[in-house]
Amino acid sequence: MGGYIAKRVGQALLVIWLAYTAVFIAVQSLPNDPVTIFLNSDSAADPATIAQMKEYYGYDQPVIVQYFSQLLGLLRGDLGYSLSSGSEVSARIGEVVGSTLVLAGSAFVVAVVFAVALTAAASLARGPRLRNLLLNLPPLMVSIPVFWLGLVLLQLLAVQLGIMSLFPDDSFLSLAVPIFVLAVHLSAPIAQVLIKSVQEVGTQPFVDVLRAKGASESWIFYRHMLKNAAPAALSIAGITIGTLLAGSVITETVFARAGLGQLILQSVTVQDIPLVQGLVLLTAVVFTSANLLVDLIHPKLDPRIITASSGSPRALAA
Amino acid sequence: MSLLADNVDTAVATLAASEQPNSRIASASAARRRLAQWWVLVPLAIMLSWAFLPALFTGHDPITGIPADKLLAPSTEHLFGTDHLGRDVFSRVVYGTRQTLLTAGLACLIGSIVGSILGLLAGTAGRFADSVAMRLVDVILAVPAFLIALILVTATEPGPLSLGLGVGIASIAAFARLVRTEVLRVRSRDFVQAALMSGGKYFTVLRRHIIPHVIGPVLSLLAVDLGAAILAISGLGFLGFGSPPPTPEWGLLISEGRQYLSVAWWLTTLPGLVIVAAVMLMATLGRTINKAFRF
Amino acid sequence: MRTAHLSLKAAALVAVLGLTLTACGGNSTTAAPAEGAPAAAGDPVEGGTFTFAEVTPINNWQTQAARFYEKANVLNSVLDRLTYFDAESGKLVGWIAEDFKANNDQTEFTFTIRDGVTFSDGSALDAEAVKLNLDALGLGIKDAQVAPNVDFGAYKSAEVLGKNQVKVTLKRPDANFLRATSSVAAGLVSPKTLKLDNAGQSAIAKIVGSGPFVFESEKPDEEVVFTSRDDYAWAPETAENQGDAYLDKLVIKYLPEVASRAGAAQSGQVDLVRGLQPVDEQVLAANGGQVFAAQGVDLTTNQAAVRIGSGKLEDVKVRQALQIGIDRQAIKDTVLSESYVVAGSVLNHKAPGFVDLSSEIAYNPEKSKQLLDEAGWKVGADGIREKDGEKLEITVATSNNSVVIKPAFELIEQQWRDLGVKLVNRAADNTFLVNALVDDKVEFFGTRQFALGGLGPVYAPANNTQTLNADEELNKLFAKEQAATSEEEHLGLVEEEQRALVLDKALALVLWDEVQVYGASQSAHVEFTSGTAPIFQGAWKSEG
Repeated sequence: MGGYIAKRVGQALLVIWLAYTAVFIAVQSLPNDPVTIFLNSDSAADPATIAQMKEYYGYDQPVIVQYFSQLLGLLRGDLGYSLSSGSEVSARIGEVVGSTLVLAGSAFVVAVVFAVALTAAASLARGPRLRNLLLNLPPLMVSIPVFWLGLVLLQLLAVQLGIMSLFPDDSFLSLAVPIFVLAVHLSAPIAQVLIKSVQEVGTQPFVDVLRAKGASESWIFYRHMLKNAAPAALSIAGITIGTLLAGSVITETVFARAGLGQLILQSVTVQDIPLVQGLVLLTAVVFTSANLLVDLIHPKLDPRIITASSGSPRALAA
Repeated sequence: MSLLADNVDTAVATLAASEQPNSRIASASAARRRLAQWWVLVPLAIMLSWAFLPALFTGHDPITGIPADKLLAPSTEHLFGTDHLGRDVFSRVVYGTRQTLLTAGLACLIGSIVGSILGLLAGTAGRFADSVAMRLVDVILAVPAFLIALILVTATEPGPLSLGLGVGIASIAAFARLVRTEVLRVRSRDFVQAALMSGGKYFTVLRRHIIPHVIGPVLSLLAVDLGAAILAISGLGFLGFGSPPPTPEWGLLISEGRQYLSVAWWLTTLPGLVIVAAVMLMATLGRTINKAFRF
Repeated sequence: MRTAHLSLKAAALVAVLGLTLTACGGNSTTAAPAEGAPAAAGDPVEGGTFTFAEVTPINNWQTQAARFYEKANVLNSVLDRLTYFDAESGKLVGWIAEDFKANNDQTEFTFTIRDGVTFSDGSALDAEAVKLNLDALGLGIKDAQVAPNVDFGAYKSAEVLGKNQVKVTLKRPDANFLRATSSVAAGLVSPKTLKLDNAGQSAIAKIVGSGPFVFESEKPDEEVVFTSRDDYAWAPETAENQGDAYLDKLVIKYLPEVASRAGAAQSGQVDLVRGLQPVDEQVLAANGGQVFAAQGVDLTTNQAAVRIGSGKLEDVKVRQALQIGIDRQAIKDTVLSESYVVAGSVLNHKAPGFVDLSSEIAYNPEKSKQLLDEAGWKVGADGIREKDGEKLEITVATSNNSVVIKPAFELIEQQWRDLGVKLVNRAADNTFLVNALVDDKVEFFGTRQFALGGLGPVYAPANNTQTLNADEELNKLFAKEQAATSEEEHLGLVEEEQRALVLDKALALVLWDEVQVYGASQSAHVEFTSGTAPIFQGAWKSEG
């Protein structure tokens, strides 16, 4: 197991480095540099000033030199300076990362709970009509634009009813509503996977045996079906965590919340390369560690995986 | 929004892979039922014809408005009302189908083709290829999908090509994982093992035995991916990364219309319903395809 | 079939939600006066917290670059300036400089600094502090990578004379120098602030001014809280309130989403919000809120500034054709509101030296087509004009912070289509804008600029963001205007500049006077500077 973990950690580091490098190459395709954009943002700047600042921040260096000095800085724990925000990249990210963690983390938990609840309701529902209605919920939930749902809820709760703050304050609703909006979208794919997996388990002979033995449907559902369906849901959840961070950008815009999504948007808009790179590093680290975690838990939940077709523990997780 | 493309894809990927043959339906009406399952093609065909023959469905000009008629509520004259420049919203939805299909369609093509090739390689070309392809997929997933789209749009300009590419890259991972899982499933079957053992050529085995089994799930994922791509593009439009006006596009219609939410609900709600309908129809099509190609 | 059935049901549900929403806000479409009912007059009420929502978060607060509204609107209440432009009288009056004078050829300026002014860190705002500030503005701060203020391009040096006088020497004459000292971007900060590094000078928590409000706390990207300074007693001499602010606290929040702004003021969650869009003015006024239109006298009019780098607009006839090919009244009627005034020149109607050119630039599509024909641009098969195989396809870039500029260009695109001109509307695309700002092949920059230093700094430098081109004739005119020795001569030259920019050279396709429309709750009382910034020092909230 130790060798396996070491191998997986090595792979994760490789993925992080590749993502970091790929984005570095991609941002080179942007038409300008942070200094030019920053200084010209609203009025003409003196070309000499621009040249002097470019030199100071190292943007006059060849790209390859910039890359290695960034990488070197990274190894020393220095993410660079964000000119557009006038602070260290690490400080800038640190300011808002908490807000996104709260939003994204809670949304994730809510989404999973909601997905399980929906699956339970759909599996235990009596009558095909109700069941079909529930089964159609996930596709419906993903086809409603996040910003539309958010804006409608804001109009309704904050403006018409006046029971919610338009701004993030410490009140329950001002956190719960954004979490809900984000969770609705998040839970749909998880629910979809869970429902399918549960249905699949339901067709297996052992369930019939249990029924024949007189086990109640809800007991079968919770003790057997859900347990068997969990690994599939877990593997998609791992992916969700990585993308969730980025996905909060719309929710943050609608609810005027500070956060990483906003920061990513802003950093690309003003082509603040060190900030973009810092953010990519963060998302890559979060994504790979989440997946690493899922991969490590996975075999514990479902021992069959080790022996699955290709023999690799990633066979199903991937 | 692009995270959705990803999540939906993965969801479908997993469910497509886990769909079990349902052998219980064996009645006399099976054929008729099977045909009836394809009802979903009728409304989709109508929407598709909006893209090619928009003038058949509306007499209004989608890009030239009558300023005096601005922000009119839906009526028999203007089914979906009019927008802030007095343009007929229904005609913008109908004419917008082409741009939507172009952009979202390109996204799906990129995602499915590149993803499928990666998946096939991973599943058939040995452990090393598998490892390389899957790490590549990890890299794609590790970078926030919408960041890729943002950089692409910034470096070029927002249009079908950059938006399609940006959104498409995000779904490569889902297709790759789906195809790989399917290939592994098929490969473990006796007849494929036998074909490989008896010295069958790589491409022959691929063509005869593997691709036919993979195509169903891929098509079904493709159907849902199209809906997800439309929403992803809409989300980018909301963030200010849409194609320049006046060319109508579904996602942009709702993202631009949301500004007038307090005075003109129809600007977001009605085109939004068209998208909801399209996405759900597409999802249904995906399920139908999946059932039809399974055995 | 069941699936279809259910999809429909679900769809209906969504529709009902949409309808409910309109039902709640249903009365919104009924006509109402564009202006909110004037708030009840009366004596200012002391105390209270005032919440102001800006359109987008700011995290780089470097004061010399405070040329964006979202920055200037806040710093206006934190930093004092040497002089103050009184919009009512159109005159520059004393502020931290109780007296100021210029020599005859506009190269030397002497400021007499008011006694007893202190920064909020306790240090004195004396002649020495003013000199340090002027040096920073005119020469930049090398160690902190702070660029000089563009309005101070002529600055050479400053020296302290006696106890309370500072004399500024310029490299060349600049008749606009004094007015430039009234700009928020020329705000005076504590000498300690000037010594900070780039990160320090960018942090609102570390910027120390002498203004009526002092930083208290911040939540990055969400809010900044300021408290009133009790010993503040040096407001501009024309200010109604000569003492400290009536308010106890000022809270700045952000509402990036346009659709939420009217609701924020209507529900009283903010006292004031900037960036109210025209359609929401009626909604807000009808629902018990107020609508304030702050005239931007300090700025140019909103315009499509022309760049000739792509060659398509090199012929002045084409530019003149486009100038009269804009139906400004239709823009106002369709996408603006009664709060907006159609432009008559490149300066606002209330700006010193404004000349009304509205009859010369009146909408005349026939004449416009004729000019385009004369310039050799013939209508092609697809209805778009072409010349030498090149299509008359031109692009506009604007920021997304203006709520009206994108729809305005959508309408202009429609108007120009009739002339055979294709406008690629990249308005409100900030990513495109940052690159377009330095790319002279993007034909138009839709914008308005602070013109406190006159039109020269806006249009003269070779890399000026408006035209990205130094026009020799124009620059001679600017130099002449800056060297004007009498007010009469100066105003005459300012008029000549406007004619050149709008008519003869048609380098600024003017649209409407700059105005910032604010939404306010019923209890808010607030006035605005000539730069459209809210004056929080004089603001108050009525009770109940």
